[in-house]
Amino acid sequence: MRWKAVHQFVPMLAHGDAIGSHVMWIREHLRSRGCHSEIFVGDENSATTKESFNLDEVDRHIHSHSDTLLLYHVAQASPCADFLATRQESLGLIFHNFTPPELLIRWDPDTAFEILNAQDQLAELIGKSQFAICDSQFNSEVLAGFGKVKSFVVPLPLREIAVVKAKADEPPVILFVGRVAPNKAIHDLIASMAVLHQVFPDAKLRIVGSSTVDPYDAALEGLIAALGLKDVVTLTGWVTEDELELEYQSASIFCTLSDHEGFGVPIVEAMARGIPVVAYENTAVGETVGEAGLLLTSKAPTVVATALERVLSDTELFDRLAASGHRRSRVFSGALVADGLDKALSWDESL
Amino acid sequence: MSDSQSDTDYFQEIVAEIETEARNRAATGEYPRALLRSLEEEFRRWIPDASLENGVEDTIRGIEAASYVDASVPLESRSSVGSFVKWVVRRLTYFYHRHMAQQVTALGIHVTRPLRLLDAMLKNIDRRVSAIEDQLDVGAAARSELIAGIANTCVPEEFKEILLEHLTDAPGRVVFGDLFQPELLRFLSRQSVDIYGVSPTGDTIEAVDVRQEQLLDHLNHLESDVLGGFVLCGVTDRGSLNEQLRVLRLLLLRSKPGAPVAVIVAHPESLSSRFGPVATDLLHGRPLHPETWCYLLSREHASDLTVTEASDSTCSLITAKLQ
Repeated sequence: MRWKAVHQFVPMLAHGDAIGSHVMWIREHLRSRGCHSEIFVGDENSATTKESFNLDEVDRHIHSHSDTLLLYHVAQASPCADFLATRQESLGLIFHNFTPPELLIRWDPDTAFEILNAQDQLAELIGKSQFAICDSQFNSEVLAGFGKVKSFVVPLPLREIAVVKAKADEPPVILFVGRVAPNKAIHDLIASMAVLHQVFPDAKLRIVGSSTVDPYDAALEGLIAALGLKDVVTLTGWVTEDELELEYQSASIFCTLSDHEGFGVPIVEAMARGIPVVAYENTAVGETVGEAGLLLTSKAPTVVATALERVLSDTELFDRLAASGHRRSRVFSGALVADGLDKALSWDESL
Repeated sequence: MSDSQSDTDYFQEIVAEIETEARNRAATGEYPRALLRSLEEEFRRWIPDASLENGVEDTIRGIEAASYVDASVPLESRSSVGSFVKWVVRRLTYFYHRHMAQQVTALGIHVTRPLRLLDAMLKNIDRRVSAIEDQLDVGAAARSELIAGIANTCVPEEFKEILLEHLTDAPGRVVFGDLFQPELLRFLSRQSVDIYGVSPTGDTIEAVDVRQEQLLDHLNHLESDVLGGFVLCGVTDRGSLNEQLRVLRLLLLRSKPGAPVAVIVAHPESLSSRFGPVATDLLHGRPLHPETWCYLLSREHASDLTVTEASDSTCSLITAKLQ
């Protein structure tokens, strides 16, 4: 690798979320290659102050401008973008995509406008960037809309995970893992559960993830109560890694009907554990699932419920989905992703 | 064939089967109509923006794609020297072209982002207006004048016993709306039918539970699956087609599975002979024929449909049981 130092910039560093885990993984990988690597944040998070530095500490860590690469994780508006626009070191982007603001405007206008700011920041920054790393081909195509930049598709890495087998005598559990946000279409999952409940009265739906916006939470609670699903649907809120592992262990099927995904870490995590995946195909969901899941072209509750019922009652289909998903998850192994990252970091514009 | 290829084909076949099966189940009523109605209604109530149509959005995407400027000038030339000269010039001026291209692209993005939000807001407004239009009867003023001059149809005596028999084992409270017929309510109550009335007209009468409000308003405030049955009348003669369908939709949504239901409707021919040509024209679509009510109820998979015509042929009673 031609860089002696590669430092990452991230709007905020959090434990447990996809971007936070990615940032930490990249830092450890770079350090293992003998590279000086630190993490700088736009906004401090009290839970990760030991792992990161503020922007005003950057100069203390940069010894040579020409041998240093700055990597910026693009996902939301951040002071990092304005800071990096003024730096003379080489810049690379890691593009995680933005939630389309039109999906949020009704529920969370502040965030919708923040995303517009983030898009403006990216448009300003892209001309200064030597290259970009995108989580998926879909993200790469979205990024191309902001300007021309050499782009590499390097998915997020999967940590080592053991295959789990749901206990046959337990009631079926449909699992979704992710933020409780309007673009994740949790409401469609709940509607599908209302239909599935007719056929599998003991089936449960568990939504595992932190909430993001109060009006959407209230709407989901209202919908659950109105459909009489209070004993069927559980919104767990934020969980620890150990608790998340337990959720995966008790899951029969992983289901996502999200309207927008730049990648889909929980999909890969479920596949790695041998949990069959049923998903609504759009944005980057299709390329994440690959050939290893049921990709629905409609998320009408009747279609989703029929799909879930079929997987629960057809042993051959269940087993093939589980095995196929597990095979697919190997594409996202740390070793393969590390190779892709090294290739991107070794790219030289002048060659 | 590799494992992954054979899995791909297999899963695609399964998805096609699932989509066909889901359509068939919805069409045959295997997925209860009441449930699907309830989903639709509750979605409208809680998640009004669950789906965004395309249209303007696609246009904006097109603008975005078109506003992207490629800084790489083509190098094709008739001679290899020309091509080489172009390559040298492009190489030397690339930094300048790229800078300009980035600025133009950024301008395009700045222009289309607010348009995107505007698009989302317009869709939101459009949806709300559609919902309001759905409930509005255009030309309501002229019609209400006409309706005011039309006497309500009374429920004939001969329907009393049929209603009693039909409603006796209702699995909960039965609503009677929106005619003001306290005698009929009192009769049914005394025969142990748990029934109450909803009517915008009439006075409070002791021992008869009649709510003085519009039937639509009343139904809007009820929870789903709380009614043990319904008798729909009055609005079936005077309401606009939209009002009648909306009331029916809400009644179906609020009724429990297995609920006995009844509709009393004046004969369109007998009413039009009383109305004269103006009212007949302006009150189009009302009252609906008994056959239409049978169609609407059977579409919801109601069973045991029976039509009883009054001996003087002025009106009909349609009875059925919900699934």
